[in-house]
Amino acid sequence: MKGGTILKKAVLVLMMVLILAFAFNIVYPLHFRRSVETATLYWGSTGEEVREVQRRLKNWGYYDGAVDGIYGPKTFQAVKNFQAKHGISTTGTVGPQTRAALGLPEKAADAYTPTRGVSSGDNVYLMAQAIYGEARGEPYIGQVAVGAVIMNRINHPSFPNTIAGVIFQPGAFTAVTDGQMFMQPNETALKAARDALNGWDPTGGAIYYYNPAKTTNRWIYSRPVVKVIGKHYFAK
Amino acid sequence: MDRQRAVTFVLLLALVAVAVWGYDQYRQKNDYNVFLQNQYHRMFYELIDHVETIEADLAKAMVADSPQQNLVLYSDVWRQAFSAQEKLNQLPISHLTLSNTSKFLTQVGDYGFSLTRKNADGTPVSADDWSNLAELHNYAGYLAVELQKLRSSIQEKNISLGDLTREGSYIFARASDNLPNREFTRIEQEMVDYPTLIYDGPFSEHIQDIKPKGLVGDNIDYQRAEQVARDFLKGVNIQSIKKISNGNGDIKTYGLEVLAEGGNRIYIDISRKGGHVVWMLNQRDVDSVNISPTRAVELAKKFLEQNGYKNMVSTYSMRYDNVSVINFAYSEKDVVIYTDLIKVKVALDNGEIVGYEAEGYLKAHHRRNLPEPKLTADQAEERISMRLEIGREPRLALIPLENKDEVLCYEFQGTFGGDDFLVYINALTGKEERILKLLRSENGTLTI
Repeated sequence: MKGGTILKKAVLVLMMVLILAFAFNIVYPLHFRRSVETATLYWGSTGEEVREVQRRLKNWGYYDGAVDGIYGPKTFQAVKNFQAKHGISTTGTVGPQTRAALGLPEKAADAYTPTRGVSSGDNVYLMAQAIYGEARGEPYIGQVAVGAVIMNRINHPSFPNTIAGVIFQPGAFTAVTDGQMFMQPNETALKAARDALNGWDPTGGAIYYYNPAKTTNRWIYSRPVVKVIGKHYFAK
Repeated sequence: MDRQRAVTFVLLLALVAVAVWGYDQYRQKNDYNVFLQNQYHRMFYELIDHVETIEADLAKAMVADSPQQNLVLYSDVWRQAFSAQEKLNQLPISHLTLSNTSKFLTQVGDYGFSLTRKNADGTPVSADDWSNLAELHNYAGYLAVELQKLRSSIQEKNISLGDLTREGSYIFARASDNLPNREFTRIEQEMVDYPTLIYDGPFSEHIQDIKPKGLVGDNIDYQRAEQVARDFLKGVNIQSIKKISNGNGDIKTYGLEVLAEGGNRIYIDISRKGGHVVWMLNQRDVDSVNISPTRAVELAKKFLEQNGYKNMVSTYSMRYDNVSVINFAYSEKDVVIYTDLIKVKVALDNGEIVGYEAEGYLKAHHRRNLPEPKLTADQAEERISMRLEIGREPRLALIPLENKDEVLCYEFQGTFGGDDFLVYINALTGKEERILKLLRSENGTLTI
């Protein structure tokens, strides 16, 4: 009899777990969608609005990083501090309430509005993700070098013509194939990405790199190596 | 008895739950699989369409005679090739296998672009162009046929993702082997949609595939390179220097790692010919800002002069991570030479030089015979759109073109509707060579 109650309880618990699991499955994506609709700015957001937030936070002394349109760790902390001061719950994201407190302006329509859609922040973050995923254990210069390879590929006829095209080319980078690149890059990776985008190329024009300890591809060994940095061989 | 029944019940329930969960997973996996396959198939089918259109366009171009027709055909080749390349590179096939086909598509596109320009300039199609066109046409035809073979085998076998990868790899590997072994110059198009390169200021894309012209002097040995590094890093308290890796790229270098006081690492590459510093990066984090951007420019200029680079003028700069990156161009007889570029990165806390990049300069700099302008500044100004409100006095500049020729231009700065532009008018012919847009932000001025 006693064993029976335990079993009944076990059944109850099992069923509850199942119900919860299914409910989570339905609720989680919904929550995700909603946050996109209200255009909340969060860690990883990029663009002109982020720049505006950074500009304001910097003017008011909450933020001491670069006004680069990339919502990184520093911006996150600055937003949290701002929220704490203004009695908004410290989420570290810029939702409607924080937005209002920051006083983000409405834009007026005009015949010709000055160009505003051009920014390079998205690319910096994307490249930093690729660098972080591929080479976070490498010396700093090795991280810049990975970014430089991406830049060299863009200009090379055998490869796609955009940063996203090069990074997401099927099979081109292991960290992209196994999803490792979708982590938040650290400050070092962001810095390396900026240096690479600004034209520093420690490799001298390499378009491939590999780790000889891990690579099984024979073809890659036939490419002339132009530089060795850390564990990576850079080749043309 | 009761207990046994309960056990059976729980087990059954668990089984049903697992089955439901498993089915759900299976269904999801299938959905994703089908979704991906559809995407890949769409890419593949569109790729075939593009390649077929390229072949047809090139065939028509062989017989077209009016500039109007040619313009349509060449620009369509350019557009189709670009789209084809986009799609090719999204197929689930190793990029190593695809690289030659991808290169072919880039070349066809570039060729279409350069012919479009020639056409607009009224330059007639040369004998070389005709044979290039014919060759590109033939290969486009070959590629189209190969792709069609792959298509029919996909249709017959109701091919899966794995098969597309396998059979596609085979076809593309064979197609690559049959590629005409011919080098076309890569043309740098100004319709870039990656505003990243703008960091460099205008015209920095010219440096690829150029034999370094600025490397003067004798070959040096490693000892000498170490001395060059010490001289270059004068202000740094150097603990040790070690060789990490020689560079065998376009510029052959000695790669050095310098360990500075406090465990900070500085990387520096020195050319084996002439012992020039090619680039330097100090990985130190800069935490505060104590000096102004103007002061940073002065410091950078002084640094260049100390290292023997006189006549450098600062063109564009940008700020990030508490450093200022300043772009310098060589200037000769009041003409800004936009090909000979050096970048200097200044830490805004103590003014230390934390980065240096002279690849552009070392590759492009040589003694030039600058032509005399045939147009006056006023005559050049007449060529500028009425809509542009001209700002400061124009200055002369030497800029590189897509085909890597260098032309002497008047550089006009102006505004339209709150946007800033640079317009370059050829000082010899009056042709409007290039238009750049300036992006201003508190982080510096960029161009696109």
